[in-house]
Amino acid sequence: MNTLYELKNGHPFKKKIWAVGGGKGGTGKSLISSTLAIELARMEKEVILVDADLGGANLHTCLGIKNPAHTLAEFINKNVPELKDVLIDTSLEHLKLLSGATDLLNIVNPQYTQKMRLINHIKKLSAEFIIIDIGAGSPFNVIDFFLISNSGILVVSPEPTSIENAYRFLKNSILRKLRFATAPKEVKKQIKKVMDETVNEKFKTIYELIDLVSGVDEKSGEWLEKQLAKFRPALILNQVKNKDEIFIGEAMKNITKKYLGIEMNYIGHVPYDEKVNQSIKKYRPFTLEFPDCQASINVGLAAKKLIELSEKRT
Amino acid sequence: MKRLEDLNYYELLNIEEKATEKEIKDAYMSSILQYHSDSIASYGLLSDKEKILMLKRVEEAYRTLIDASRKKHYDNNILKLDESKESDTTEPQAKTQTTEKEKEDKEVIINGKILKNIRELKGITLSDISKKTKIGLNYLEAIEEDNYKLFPAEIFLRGFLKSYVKCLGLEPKEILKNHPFFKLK
Repeated sequence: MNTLYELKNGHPFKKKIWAVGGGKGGTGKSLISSTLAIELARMEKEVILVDADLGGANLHTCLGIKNPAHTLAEFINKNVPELKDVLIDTSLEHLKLLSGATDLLNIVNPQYTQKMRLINHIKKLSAEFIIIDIGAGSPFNVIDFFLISNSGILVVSPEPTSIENAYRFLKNSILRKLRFATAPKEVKKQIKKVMDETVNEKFKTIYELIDLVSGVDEKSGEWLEKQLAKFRPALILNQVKNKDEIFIGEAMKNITKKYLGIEMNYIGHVPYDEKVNQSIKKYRPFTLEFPDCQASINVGLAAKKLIELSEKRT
Repeated sequence: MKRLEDLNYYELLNIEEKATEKEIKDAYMSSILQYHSDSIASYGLLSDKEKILMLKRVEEAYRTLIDASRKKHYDNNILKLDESKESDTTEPQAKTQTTEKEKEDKEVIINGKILKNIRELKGITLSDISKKTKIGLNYLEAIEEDNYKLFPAEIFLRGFLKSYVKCLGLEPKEILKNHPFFKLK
């Protein structure tokens, strides 16, 4: 049965899930997630913002909510059966927040069943857009949240550490995706065989993995290529301080295609702006506090571009 | 899905087969920026050896595509392009139109570090350039270090930079347009 959200304008619509990750901490993932969610809500889209940064939840602060009335902890502890029971209202009419657990140490490294229960319930949430802010690093517990949708968003800052982590994140994401994708039994067997026999370091590019699998079974190789083509993450270059850095986004897109075989959608850059820090100190989202600053304008453009891409896919 | 080693010159430079001379030059500059030794865009993914190999391939692609006769030979004999398709310019304009923001995102800056990288890649020493241009080594080093204070006036930097760039076989006008000192003017 369609919910109220799904019957907007009398037409059921397809839910869009955007997971925001990137490997390194401090690149502005939470700020980008929250501001994208705000931009969508201002366009009167129904949005749920999910704080899945299990080790450092702070999306509530980005939205100016100091003490969230409900958090993910209640769902994790099974005090409530559904995630919708812990959604909280925000200052924006069309935006709800699923606040991260700030007081549960054991959730930083969830058990497989805990994680899958959470992922399945996130997928079941009812909204036009679900934006998921995931944690830093590239462990599988983080990547599994990124892979909830095919259109994850990578947030990278123009620093060697961030770029290095982003490439690692992409490599781990595709390997994880290929290993756990729904595939014919024989195909899965061949992929598992090659992956078990080769350590990550043995194949530098995904092409090499495909060649190895194709060597064992050509059909499995073709299946892998198709899966790889479906993985189209988006890229946002954040905290750009000068013109020299702007080209890095396009450059990463080109390099990723050539060396990893992953076709990224480069969305654009968001400039570093002192006003962002000023708004955090005021517990106010920067796009609301300084709507005319360049960072706010660029996030707005990014939201529009991401919507266009999502619509092309559906 | 094409493997890196199978990419043709156009694919290597991310341009279409009917790219203009300016587009080829811009793509070349952009590729140099991506793969030069200090480029952070490829940091963590490519080794220094891979960057050098890529730069050599980019250089080879550029030298071929920028030279009309070599390009024609490559198109006809290597790629075996259909000539009628090659001259087809009826493709909708909308496809090639880019927004101001996209243009800005593709802008390139060619600073001293990158010029040094190109020079080293071509195996040209500063002494070679100094002998050829009669420009003092200290000025040539200053160009590569982006130390503009050394030049008594802007006109010296402009003149010396032009001569330096010509020795590298590059188009001075293109470089000056993308040089950080003149770009901000």
